[in-house]
Amino acid sequence: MKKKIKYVFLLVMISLFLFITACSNINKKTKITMYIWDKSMCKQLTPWLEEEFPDVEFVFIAGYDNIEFYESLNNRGKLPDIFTCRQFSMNDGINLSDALLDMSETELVGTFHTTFIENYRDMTGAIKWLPMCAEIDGIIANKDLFDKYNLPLPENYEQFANACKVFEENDIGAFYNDYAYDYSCLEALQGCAAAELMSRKGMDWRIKYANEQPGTPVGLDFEVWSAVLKRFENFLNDTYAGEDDIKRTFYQAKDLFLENKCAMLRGTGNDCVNLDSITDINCVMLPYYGDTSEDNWILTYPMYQIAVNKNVEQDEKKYKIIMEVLRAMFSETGQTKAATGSVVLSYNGASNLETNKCFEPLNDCIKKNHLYQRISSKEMFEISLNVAQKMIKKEYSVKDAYEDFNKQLLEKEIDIAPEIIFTQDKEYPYYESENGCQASSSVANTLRNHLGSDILITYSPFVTSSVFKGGYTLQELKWLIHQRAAIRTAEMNGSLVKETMEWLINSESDDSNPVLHRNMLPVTSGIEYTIKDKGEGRFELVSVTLNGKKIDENKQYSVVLIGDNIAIEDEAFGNCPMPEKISDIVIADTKNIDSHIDDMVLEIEKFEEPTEYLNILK
Amino acid sequence: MKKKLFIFSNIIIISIILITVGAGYYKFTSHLIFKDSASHLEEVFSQSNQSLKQLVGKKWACMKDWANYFKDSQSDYKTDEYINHLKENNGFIEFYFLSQEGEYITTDGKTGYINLGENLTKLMIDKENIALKAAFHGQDEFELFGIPCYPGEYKDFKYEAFAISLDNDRLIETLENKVYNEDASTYVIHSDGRVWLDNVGQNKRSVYNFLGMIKEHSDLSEHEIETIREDIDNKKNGVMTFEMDKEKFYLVYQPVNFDDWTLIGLVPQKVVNQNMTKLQILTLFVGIGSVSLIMFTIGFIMVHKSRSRLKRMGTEIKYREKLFTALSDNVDDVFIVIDKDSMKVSYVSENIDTILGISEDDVINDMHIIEKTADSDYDMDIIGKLNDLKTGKRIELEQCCYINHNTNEKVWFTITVLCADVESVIRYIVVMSNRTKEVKAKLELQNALGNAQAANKAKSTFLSNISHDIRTPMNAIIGFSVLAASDIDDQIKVRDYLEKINLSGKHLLSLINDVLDMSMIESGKVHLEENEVCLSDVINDIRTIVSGQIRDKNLSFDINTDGLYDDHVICDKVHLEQVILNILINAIKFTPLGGKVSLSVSQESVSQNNTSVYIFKVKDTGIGMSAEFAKKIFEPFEREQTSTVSGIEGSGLGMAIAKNIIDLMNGTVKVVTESGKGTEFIISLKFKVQKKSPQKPKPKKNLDLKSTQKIFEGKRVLLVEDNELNREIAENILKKFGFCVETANDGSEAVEKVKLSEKDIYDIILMDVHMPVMDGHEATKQIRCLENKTLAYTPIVAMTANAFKEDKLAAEKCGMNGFISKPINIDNLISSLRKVFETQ
Repeated sequence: MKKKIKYVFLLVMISLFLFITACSNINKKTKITMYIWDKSMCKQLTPWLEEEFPDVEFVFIAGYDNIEFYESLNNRGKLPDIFTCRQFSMNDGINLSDALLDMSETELVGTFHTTFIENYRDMTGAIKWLPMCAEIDGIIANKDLFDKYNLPLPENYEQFANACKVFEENDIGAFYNDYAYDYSCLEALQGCAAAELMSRKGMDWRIKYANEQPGTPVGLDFEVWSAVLKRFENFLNDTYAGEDDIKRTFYQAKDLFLENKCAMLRGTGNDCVNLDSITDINCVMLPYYGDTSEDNWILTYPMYQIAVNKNVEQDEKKYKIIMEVLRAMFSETGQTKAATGSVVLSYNGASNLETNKCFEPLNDCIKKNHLYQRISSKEMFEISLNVAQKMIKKEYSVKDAYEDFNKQLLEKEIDIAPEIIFTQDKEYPYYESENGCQASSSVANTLRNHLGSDILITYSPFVTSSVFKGGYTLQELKWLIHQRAAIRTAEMNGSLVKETMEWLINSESDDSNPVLHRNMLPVTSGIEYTIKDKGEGRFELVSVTLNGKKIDENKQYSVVLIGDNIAIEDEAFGNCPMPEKISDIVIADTKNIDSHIDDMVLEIEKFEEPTEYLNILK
Repeated sequence: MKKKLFIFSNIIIISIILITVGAGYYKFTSHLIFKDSASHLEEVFSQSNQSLKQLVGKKWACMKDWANYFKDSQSDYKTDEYINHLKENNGFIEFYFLSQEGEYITTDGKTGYINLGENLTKLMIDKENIALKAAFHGQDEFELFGIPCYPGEYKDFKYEAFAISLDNDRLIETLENKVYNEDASTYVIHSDGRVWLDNVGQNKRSVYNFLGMIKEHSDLSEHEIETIREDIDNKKNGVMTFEMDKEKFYLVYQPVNFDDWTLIGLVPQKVVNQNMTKLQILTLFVGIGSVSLIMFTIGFIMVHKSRSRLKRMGTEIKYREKLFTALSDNVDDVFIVIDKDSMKVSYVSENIDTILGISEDDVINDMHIIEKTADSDYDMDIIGKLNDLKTGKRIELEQCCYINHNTNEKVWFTITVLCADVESVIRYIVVMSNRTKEVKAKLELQNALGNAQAANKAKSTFLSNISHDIRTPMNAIIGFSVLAASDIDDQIKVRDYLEKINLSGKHLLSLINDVLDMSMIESGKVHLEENEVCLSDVINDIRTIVSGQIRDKNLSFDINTDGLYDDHVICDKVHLEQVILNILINAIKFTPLGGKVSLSVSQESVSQNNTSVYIFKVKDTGIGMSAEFAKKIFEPFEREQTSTVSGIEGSGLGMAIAKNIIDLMNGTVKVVTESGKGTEFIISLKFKVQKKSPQKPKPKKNLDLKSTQKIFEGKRVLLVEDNELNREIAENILKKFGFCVETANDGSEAVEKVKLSEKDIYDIILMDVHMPVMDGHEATKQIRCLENKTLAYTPIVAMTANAFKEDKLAAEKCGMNGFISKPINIDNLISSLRKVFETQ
């Protein structure tokens, strides 16, 4: 009898266990961690993905637009499931290649046009990166000025150079480019010589370069790149580029353009449409010109590349879900959400490029299929900046430029084991809970103590990964904090602190809101806050407390605000700007966080314990 | 259980064998079908492959010819004409002259760039033919066939190769499957699985990468896909099956022998094997059906046999059940079955209702109800005693007495409990063996022993009492006889002595009569003879009887019949008188001189059945009784003081006789007494009231000696008596009344004398019953059987000391004419003889 009872009991227990396990599996969401190259992806894409995949628990983390950053995560075994990167070339990704999923034999890759996707095939035939829809880059022209000076829109390089001459003669800046940035230098350099780079020899070199192997650097093809650099030299000369252009930012150039002090501007198709719509100026997009109209090219580049961690293959369910997520991202709707309304080119379908009047001058290029995709390896950005600026400064001839460019390509920095400057004894995971992100809280507490302020508020989790246990190099410390983080300090009373939090959290009546996702909630140190989750990425601030008590609204506090740098902030929060009341008080001595980290690591020995700064009410 | 397991195992084994054989057959036939289908499919798709090869080969062959033409072309105009002609005849869409840089020009003069990627070098430098999918921005991809040619110039465009974009439909046509039509899908893929060309049937999915598609949607393992990949790389043929979207497909792959192309064919298995599968399933079903039929028949026979056996067993079990039920119903034993785990009653024999007066349901609901019916002297917790009982063991509990809930009768049981294990179900079987009969028999024996002992004691007491009471008058008789003999001459003294002897004799007779009456009553020989009686007459008779004694003791005697309305009743007058007289005489006896005795008779109202309770009260102012004695007043030989002490004569049986007669009459008697003050007996008797006035009896004729002597004068009487003394007494009395007396000593002598009296016939014979040689009854029978009827009908009167009724009946039966009891009462003797003579 007792035996029977035992067996029955055992059976009941096993059944119960299986039932509970089954039930727990039923309700368990598949967790997918996705690193976004920029928070702009949160505008439309990430909320849409969450809507499309209710059974998936997405964790979106803003990382660095840098493959080395992902190499670093990979080295710590923390490579996310999906990650995105804008600055990319095939040879950049070679060190990470083994950790990535080969998607060459997936249905998803089959949807891409062969001619485009072939650029992403490595020497082994694998395709590990997929390009998101392309943005176009070219010359934004003030057509009104062209008309004013009876200049037809150029059809070839000669006409372009002539127009530049006319404008300069009339004290109007012919063509302004923000050569302060690497991408501006790279795009101008490659754009003006797209024909050379798209020639057979140019393509051969490009394929060779893309498949560069570690230890065997591929230098420039002399014939191709001599021609490219010659064209760039001519371009600089014909556009009257000078040292001022090296210092000029896009926004400065844009202001001059809007003031009719500049006839042409390097910019994206989206910039062109924006400028056309927000001003009375008739803006048109011009291609990069060749000798004849047959040689004009439009420069394009993917908004970002997407790669998938190879480990997902081990979990069949997760693999299939990720494939579905990618298919959704590369669907027409997905690409529209990724573009957030911008004009883009699809690598696997039709685009609306021709339908916009701003792009009329590009139609011929589009018909001729003269779409050049930039070479955007990390080194190409760095060297382009270096060489272009030197060429602008006329520091060397085309030959010197070629040699220097080639030398920099061939003499890559030998990886020397970087110095460990900091050892962390405890790990704080990047874990979004009801009480906040532990890694962000740890870094925020460390920063606040270092800065000696009462309160620290970051616009969002400004760390890019968990706080790892072990040694940190300076670069890794920098990577830990978001790339565009900027520090501002202010003296605020409790009331204003509360208003700042309300600005960051509360949904506006017009649905504008700095926080677009629960992963993007502010991180605080010194104060705690309670919010109400209204669903669909909408929140409302309930209370702000200091050590558990309501914050004294009249008391003055020293506050550190950590957000994006001003320029990006304007872009990111343009639809929900910082209230004047706050911005007036925030001291203008914006300081990039890099220096603070440099200072910080010299003084502290470890990242401090995280605190529970957040309370979410359902 | 074991049998079931055996059958179950057999079924399982047979099923396994069937399934294995079926599966083996299915596998074997499937393999054959697969081989056959594979061979067929390879042939079918080989035709498509051949068509494609031919088309592509033809295209390049043609394009080579065109290249030769362009080499020698005279002008762009001629070239245009030629190309337009080619377009019309060869069905391509567009013709492209290609430059070293990948730029093109068409005959329309359209220029542009075709991104050929690596193919550009292949075409321009390696001078190889190319075929690829190309696309212009915003347009669908198209198939492009390129061929290097002699460098030339067309409309100022320097070309080194040319290409044509083919009409997709024409290519797809080559892949059309003539056998399976739209059921089949055909793809031409690159080695990495990218689909270069496809011809999918209606409503089929678009496939971009075939290997990717089967990896994501089919049931093929990674290893199997790797095998396909290797085969494709190595340009090998292959056929296999796989499942995709819940449908099975045949997959055929064959190298196209151009570039890295492979032709892939996909056909649903159900389409390819449509007929074969039907045949396979049919044969399988026929096989399974046949085997199943055989199995079913065997099974049916087995089941039938098994059922018959089971039925027989069932019948046996039912009979046994009936037997058990009959047994349990017909025996006084109770059977109960209790489940060990739940301690709930699962069976109770139906007879429990009869035996213990509790229902089966009550016991099933609560076993303890049995304990509640146990006699309070017994503590019978059956359940409590089961705890230590192990399986297979039995216990016998102490005998216990229960009380039937309905009848309150006691029932004795000996309880035996057996702990039985039947197929792992453990139950207690409680057998309550009914021992009531045994116990009762034992008790009766004990009572009988007690009674025997009491009777023995009573006999001893009786003998002691009777000895004393007999000895007393006997002493007087013997003593006064001796004195009379010694004083024979003194006539006065002798007369006195004789009177005292007579008195003692009467007392002795009375004593003997009482003893006999008591004996008769106790032996149940007394029967009531109910007749119509007038109670007033009874009272008068009683008054007459006791008047002498009343006078002697100078008592005041009152008779009150005020409450008597219906004095005619049906009752046994003799015994009624006996009861009242016994009590009344007792009252007179124990009432001192000058005391008071009263008799009252009353009745209660007459009931519907015409009966009434009559109450006779006898009250005296006598010595009374103690309360203790009053309780024993009706027991035989009980006297508060012996006659020696009290000086009052008596047998001590009078009240016992009275009580017994009252009991016989279903009446009651109650005593109210107080020592020294007197006693009152209250007798209640129920009589049927008789409304008719009874006929008044004829007044008795007084016995007049003289007249009687006249009647008897000269009558010859034969006195048959063995006892000389009795013979002498009787002879003298008879002679005194004028009889001529002859005597005989026994029956035999009497018969002889009668035989010899033919001449002088006896008028009457007085016959003693108990005699030696021949008793009175035999003698009478022989006399009645005499041939001389006159002699035979001689009146014979029995004269015996056996005075019971049956004695009278026995006398009548053997032909006697009258009956006189001894000792002889002269009045009775004379009246009886007179009665005999008067009836003749």
